[in-house]
Amino acid sequence: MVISSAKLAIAIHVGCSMENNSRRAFVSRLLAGGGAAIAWNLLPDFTAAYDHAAAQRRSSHPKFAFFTALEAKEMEAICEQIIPSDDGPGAREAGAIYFIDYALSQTEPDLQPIFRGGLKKLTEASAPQKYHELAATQQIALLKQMETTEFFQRARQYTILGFLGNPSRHGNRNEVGWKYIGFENPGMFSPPFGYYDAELLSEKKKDR
Amino acid sequence: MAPFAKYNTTDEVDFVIVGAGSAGGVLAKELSSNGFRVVVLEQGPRIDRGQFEHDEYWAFNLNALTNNLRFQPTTFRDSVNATAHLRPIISYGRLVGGGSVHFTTNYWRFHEIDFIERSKKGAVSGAGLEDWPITYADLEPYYTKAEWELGVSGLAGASPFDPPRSKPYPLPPMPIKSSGVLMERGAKKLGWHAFPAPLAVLSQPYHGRQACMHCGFCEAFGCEWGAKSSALATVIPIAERTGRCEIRPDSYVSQVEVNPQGRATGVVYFDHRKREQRQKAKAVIVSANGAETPRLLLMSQSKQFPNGLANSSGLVGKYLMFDTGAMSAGVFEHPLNDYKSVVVSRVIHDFYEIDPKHGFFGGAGMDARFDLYPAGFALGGFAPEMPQWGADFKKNLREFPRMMYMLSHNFALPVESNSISLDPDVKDAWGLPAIRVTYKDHPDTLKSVQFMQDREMELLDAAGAQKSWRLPFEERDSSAHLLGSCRMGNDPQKSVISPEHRTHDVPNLFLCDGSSLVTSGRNQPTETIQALAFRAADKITEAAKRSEI
Repeated sequence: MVISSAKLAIAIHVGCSMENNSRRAFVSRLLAGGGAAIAWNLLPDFTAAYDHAAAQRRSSHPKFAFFTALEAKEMEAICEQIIPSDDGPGAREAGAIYFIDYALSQTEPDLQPIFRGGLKKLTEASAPQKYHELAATQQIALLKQMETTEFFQRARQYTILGFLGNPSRHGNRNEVGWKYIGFENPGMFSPPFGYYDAELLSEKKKDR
Repeated sequence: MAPFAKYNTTDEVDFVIVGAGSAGGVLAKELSSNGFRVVVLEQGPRIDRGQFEHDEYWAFNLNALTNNLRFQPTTFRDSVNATAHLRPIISYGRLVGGGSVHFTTNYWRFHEIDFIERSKKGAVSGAGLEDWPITYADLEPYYTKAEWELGVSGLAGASPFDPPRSKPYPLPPMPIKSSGVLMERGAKKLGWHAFPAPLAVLSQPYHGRQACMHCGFCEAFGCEWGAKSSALATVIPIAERTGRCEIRPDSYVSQVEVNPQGRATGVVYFDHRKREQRQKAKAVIVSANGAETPRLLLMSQSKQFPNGLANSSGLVGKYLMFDTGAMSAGVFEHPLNDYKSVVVSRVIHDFYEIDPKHGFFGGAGMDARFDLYPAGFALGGFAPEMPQWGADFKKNLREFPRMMYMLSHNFALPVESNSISLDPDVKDAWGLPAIRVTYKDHPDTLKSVQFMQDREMELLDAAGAQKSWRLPFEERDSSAHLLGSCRMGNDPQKSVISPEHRTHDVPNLFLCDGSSLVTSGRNQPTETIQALAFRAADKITEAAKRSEI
């Protein structure tokens, strides 16, 4: 239920806000000090999110309903190239593959042949290795060759949905995707909503 | 309170209404309040507002609130000589409340010019532009009625281009968003006039409903607070409380039946178990939307009506007008957080009538908006030349809170070959012929869209955007506005329905929805569809009282 989970999210958010703010300040100080090369997993915000997502993944989805073990490895490698885990959690940490597995097994089984066929071709194109064993540059090059195929377009679409969709569909674990882009879904807001309307409001107050 | 009505299919009710959407909901409320016995057949389910979710996958991929192409395929071709192929091309609300449940809530009156554009500006080559048989003055009382009965927020007189009105809006405008502030800033520099958006959303409690909580899920979603003034939240409960109106969901109408005297006797429909049923009625009103209404008439062909019912003009399904416009995106220095609250807070009507010296016929409104939820933004928010996946793509996703969109809503010239017809080969899951769409924008319409996108880019620049880009519009997208396909007129050879919404050919068959429109206005049609429905209800009631149905 949207509202109850949203209210929970507000409570959690409010409870942690001080800590988060100080973490953010710490992170921005690091980045401001020429920290472009800092790996994202050193940053405390992301580490916590990563650990949480990883723990959820281990506990709640020990098996896939649609993907075989090899397909899952190949699919997850694709997800990682579409939304990499370079400067913050990516498709892997969001558990995008669990959303895709859910969609293909539960809600849209008609899409199964596109994924099964596409993955098979990708594995064949990677021979003698498997796709997920290739170096990142090779993985990217192979995907670029496939950009116009229906498989790639679906893979991109469902990876994105698994990163930024509602977490109730088993992706976007711990809202890592939403946090990365700066979106919240508490179920209600009150004005001011953003910088410019807040600015206008304070100007009006001054005028009075 | 009277118990809710429940009729047998063998009961001959006064009216059967096909479609419980923007128009059907209003007609159901008005006619049942006027003492008539009404059954409303809705092909979609009844979804309580407690079941609405904030889930893009649910709304867009699983089509929780809209027609699902898995069961109702559509085909598309761009000219009558081409072969139609399977393609998503139309989108409509498929539940009790129809499109009014998930619409953006822009609630614009048409202006005086919209009804008389043909006689004021002359013919346009390649288009079937006509005046309406009614004027703005005829419809004005019903615009006012719609605003006050349903609950609309806005500021009367705020736009210098507004047509005259007999009453202000019942509710003050919604709070301005950052995108609205930036639009005002840009408009001021350019000499344009941004004004508070008229929205079918409650800025304050009204008629026992609560005010908007700014959750941010208006467009394409249902309002769990009931603050969106949808038919589901407003007129449908009133209709049911009369004790004379039954809303029957999961009822998919396949045919309007006609007796040897050429009068409608009721409709045939599939119930929720796909069993064929019949509902008898003294008169039939079709409010099934601009695609399903002509389809139903064409499917109701018989020996008596070989070209489809009410189609002696040959115009059923023709002059279809789609949602037309261009979108541009801008990134600003500070966060707008435009995903909060309603979609639109400011609108510009300076280009309602584009100067003909530009060399084409057109007109448009534009709004500053939040148009793309997180996944939709990642999927389609970037220009095609920008990265669409990988590390650079991901970095750009972080601009989400600092973004706003401009969207134009353009007049779509009516073209006779743009149409709804029955696909000769493809069937839906009920075995009924699929909708085939033939559509190609008139060249002037495309030029006006291009013109408006140029204005959008100017505005984003004037508002101080750090970066901006155009989203492509050349390829015909799926349309949620389905207009003009059974146009209204006085001449039975040049129109399908009379100004009173009665079909020219079948005396007790009425049509009222987007299909009735003669022109598209500036492509925000919901208020006009609902004003027409309030007016049609008056006309139909008067006719019934005179025993002229």
